[in-house]
Amino acid sequence: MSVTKTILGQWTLFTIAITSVVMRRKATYAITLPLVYRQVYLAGIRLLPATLFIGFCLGAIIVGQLHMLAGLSGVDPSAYLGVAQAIAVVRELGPLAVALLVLARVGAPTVVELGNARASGEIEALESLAIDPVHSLVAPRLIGTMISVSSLTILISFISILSSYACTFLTGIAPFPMDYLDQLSGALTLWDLPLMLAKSLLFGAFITISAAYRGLARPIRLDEVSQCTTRCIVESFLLCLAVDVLFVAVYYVL
Amino acid sequence: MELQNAGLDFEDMQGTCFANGIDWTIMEDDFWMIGGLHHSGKTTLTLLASGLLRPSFGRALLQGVDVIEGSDREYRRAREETAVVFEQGGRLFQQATIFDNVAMPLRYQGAMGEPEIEERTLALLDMVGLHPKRNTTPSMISRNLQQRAALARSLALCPDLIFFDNCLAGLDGREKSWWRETILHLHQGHPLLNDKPAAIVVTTADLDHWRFPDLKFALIDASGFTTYENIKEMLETCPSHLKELLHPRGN
Repeated sequence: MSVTKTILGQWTLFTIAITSVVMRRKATYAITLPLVYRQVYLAGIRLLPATLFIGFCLGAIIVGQLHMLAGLSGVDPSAYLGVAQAIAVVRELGPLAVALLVLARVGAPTVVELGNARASGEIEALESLAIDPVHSLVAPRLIGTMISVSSLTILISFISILSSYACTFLTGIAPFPMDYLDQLSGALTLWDLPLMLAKSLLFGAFITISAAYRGLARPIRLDEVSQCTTRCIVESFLLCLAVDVLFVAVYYVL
Repeated sequence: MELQNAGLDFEDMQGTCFANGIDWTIMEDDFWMIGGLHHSGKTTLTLLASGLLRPSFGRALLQGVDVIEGSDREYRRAREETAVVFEQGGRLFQQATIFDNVAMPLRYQGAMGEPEIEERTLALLDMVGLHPKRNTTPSMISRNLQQRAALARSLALCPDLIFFDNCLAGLDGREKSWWRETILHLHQGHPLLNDKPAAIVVTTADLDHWRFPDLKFALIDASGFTTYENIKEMLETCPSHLKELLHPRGN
């Protein structure tokens, strides 16, 4: 229990520290803005091809499963395509897939980069130069990753919607375009977009905070960096799942 | 800088031997040589005195600011007036070029425009002879030159208190001479520090080349931290096991 308390306490302190730094009024924009742009490039633009591919695959998977459902239950799959897209991809799989992609391509390398910097004493060197490590290393990553994850989530949902419609022509269950759009608009509510964005922003935030905490918050040796990276990946994944479950409750209430 | 009965709890020290309950004051224009054998706690003392490590007990004042109770703004001001040059390559930022390493504190401070930052950075690089290497990364230059780049970076904000943490270890004779002359020049007043004398603290495991009468000395080991007003007092009273720091030549 004391270990859990310590971890939770440190996590809370670290989150508060990052939040207060991000909201500092006299931010050194000359240093931090280029770092935000760099993070948007690394966590967003560079992941565009993978996001497009995943979006296409998700659409194809939905169509494939609907086709199998039709075979098992005799349900007309074309009548449920839009609903399946809205519930499975827009609300759930899309944000989660983007979070996992960003975690693998950005979160893990962040732990390695920050952990190596901590182990080699670069963080103390930053502090000796009156440079706040959280402000200069973590805050730009936090902002950039949150922007990227939310943008990629919108993109993956859009690509998946298009891809699933395109795949219906391969399986012979293609609805009329207007019927498909009607299904989508009937299944989605006004709350879906803000909730999707809120969820993806939280995913981006937790991935960055977990990576920064594991790499930066405590003294670390070079041989411990790989262990910290593994912990960050598992921790972030579980956190994202927990957030996902919370949002299911929110959808239910709304 | 002032340490008042300052020390660290054992778990903070991570197994490093360190003398506790240190009382030490560094005044303006002081030049301190801190001698200690390997693993005697010289780096820990440097981190504690420079405010990068907070004491578990006692008090540490940096530029008059209590490092634990002072506000973030006061602490940041004190940090800008204090510099630390680390050993073994100076802990440069590996992802940045030599130029960006030296310019980083100036850019972060935000008090100068980019043309002024470039001018000052190039002047610092000229001082340490690294102008031709400004666009390389630390991994592409030797350890000697990395150490010089770290010095240039530490001087960027015109500090008036500079700590040199065992910086001369592993350097050849000519390089050591360069460092000695440069450190003495910084103490007397250097144009890049607006000709203002800086207080200097040098930690080392070899005091032999620092036998100057106007320096203050201190020795650190597991049993304690002892200060001496000059080298004569230290030679007369220091413990015998620490005399190897001076490599006595038939004295």
